[in-house]
Amino acid sequence: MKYVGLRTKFLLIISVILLSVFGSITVYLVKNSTESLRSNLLREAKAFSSLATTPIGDTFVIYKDSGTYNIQEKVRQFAELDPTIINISVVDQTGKVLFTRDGKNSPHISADQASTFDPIYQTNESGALSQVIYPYFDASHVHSYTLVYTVSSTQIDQQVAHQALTVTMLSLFALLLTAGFTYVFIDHFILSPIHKVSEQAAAISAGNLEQQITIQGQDEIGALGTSLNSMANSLKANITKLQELDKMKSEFMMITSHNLRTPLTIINGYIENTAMLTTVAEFKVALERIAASSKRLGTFAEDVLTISRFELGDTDIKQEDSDITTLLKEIAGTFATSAKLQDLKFSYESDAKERPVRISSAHIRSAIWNLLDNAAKFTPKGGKVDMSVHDDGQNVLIKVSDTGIGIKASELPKLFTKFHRGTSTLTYDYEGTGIGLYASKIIVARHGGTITAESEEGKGSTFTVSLPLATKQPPEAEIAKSA
Amino acid sequence: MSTGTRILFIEDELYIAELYAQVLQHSNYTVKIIADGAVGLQVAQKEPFDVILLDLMLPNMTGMEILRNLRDPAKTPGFQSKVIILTNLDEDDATKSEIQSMAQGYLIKAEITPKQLVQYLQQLP
Repeated sequence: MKYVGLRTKFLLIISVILLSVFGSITVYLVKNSTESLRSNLLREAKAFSSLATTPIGDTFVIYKDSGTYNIQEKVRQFAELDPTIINISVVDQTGKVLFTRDGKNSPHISADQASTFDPIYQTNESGALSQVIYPYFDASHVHSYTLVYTVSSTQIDQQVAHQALTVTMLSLFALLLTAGFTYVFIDHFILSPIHKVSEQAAAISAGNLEQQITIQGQDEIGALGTSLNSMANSLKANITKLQELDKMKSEFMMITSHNLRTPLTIINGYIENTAMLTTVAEFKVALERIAASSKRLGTFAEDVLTISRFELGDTDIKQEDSDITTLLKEIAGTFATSAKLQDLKFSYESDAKERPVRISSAHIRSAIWNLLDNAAKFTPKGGKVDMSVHDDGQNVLIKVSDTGIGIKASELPKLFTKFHRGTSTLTYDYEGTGIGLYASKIIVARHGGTITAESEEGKGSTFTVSLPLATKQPPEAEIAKSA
Repeated sequence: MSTGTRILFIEDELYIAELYAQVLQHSNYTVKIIADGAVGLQVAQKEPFDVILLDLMLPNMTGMEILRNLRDPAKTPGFQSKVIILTNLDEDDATKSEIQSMAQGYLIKAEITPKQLVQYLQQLP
């Protein structure tokens, strides 16, 4: 984008402001000094004429008929005192010139002016003093002559011009100095920081989220930088989160398709193989495996459905007052049979009193069954699975522990996440990549409870479910967070 | 490939392993099943097989790691067997192309029947 830089704009503004300020000052100073020069001149001329008139007049009276030299000499003496007086003349009362120092510039004085009793100060067109007409009174106070002093205008013009030039030059110097200082100041405190922030922000907007704005102060520019930094950081965090989510989603898809394909492969394979089976025993094995795979497919589909239903926030999960101890005893009874078939020892103990709790029995059953089923899956033949139920007055605590292969400490925090694909033996094993634990977790969370796991690799694991006895709907936000 | 071919089947899913073994043995192939990744690699390195059917999701060592070990002459000198990946895992494109550079085939279990696997093996040069 093409734009006029802030520097240029600031420079223009500074120039205009300073020019008008210094321009006014200069004009004022020049005018002032011209005025004072003129009044000085007038004062000097007044003093000079009042000083010079009597001696020159006296000399003229004495030597008017015989000694022009003496008059010249007297006039010269006085003229030397003030270089602005360029001519001195003596006129009679009619204005007739009787003597003039400089013959070329003899003054033209009217009779009125010549017969004046008070001094007349004549000015030219530009207002400068040009002539002083001063009456001469002789010893007996008779107005006999008038002296005319011609004042040089060139001199005063030169002086005014010189004064004006000096003031203008000083002004210009001050202007440049102030402009320079102002610019350096604004550049250092405003423009440079803005420029830097703008450059770094451009890098961020170009996609470099690692770029940080250098914070240079506590002012608005610093605040802008801080805001941009936190914006970039939250963008980065969001992108990272989205990328992680995206990765987890594709892994989840991969695992889901694997978990759907594997039982189907077995079912289809054994069906095709029936053609080459001959004995009843062979048929029986094939049918058992088809049935097991079908069941596995069903469980997996059920888990996926439970998760999506709970995640969609389906509030129509049927909850009724059921006696949880009866339900748990029933689940334990079913599992006892299954454990026996798998050569596992199983024990069940409960100190919970019979009491109605508001739950969705079907979902709680599947959440607890998932835990028992997992324990059986990861416990070698001859191992032990224990289930205990404890009522502490506020919660029912259901513990399922096993003497199985255990879970790596690093895998524990990821155990209840939906998209987790572990790298341990545990998750790579049969159905280990399932989403049963995640399903259990969101079912328990929906009932306002919690689920935790402890494990020691090679020794076994313990899963604890805590369900509140009083009905308590968790806020939606907590369910969302648990995903 | 015809009858008498020696096959190593590295597969941890018991039902799938037995299912394929049943058909392959029926077609007179010699089949050895190993359910563990690390053990599978050792067996593949020690004993001579014509074909190795390799699953990807395996305990202790993944199929990809086994494949890389077998194709590394420093780790498995003089390795001659054909390797066919037999999995239900739909890997990402990068992994797929790595597999294609190292294995002779990539089969999705759910997309073929046991008979089709036998036909596929018979067609192998």
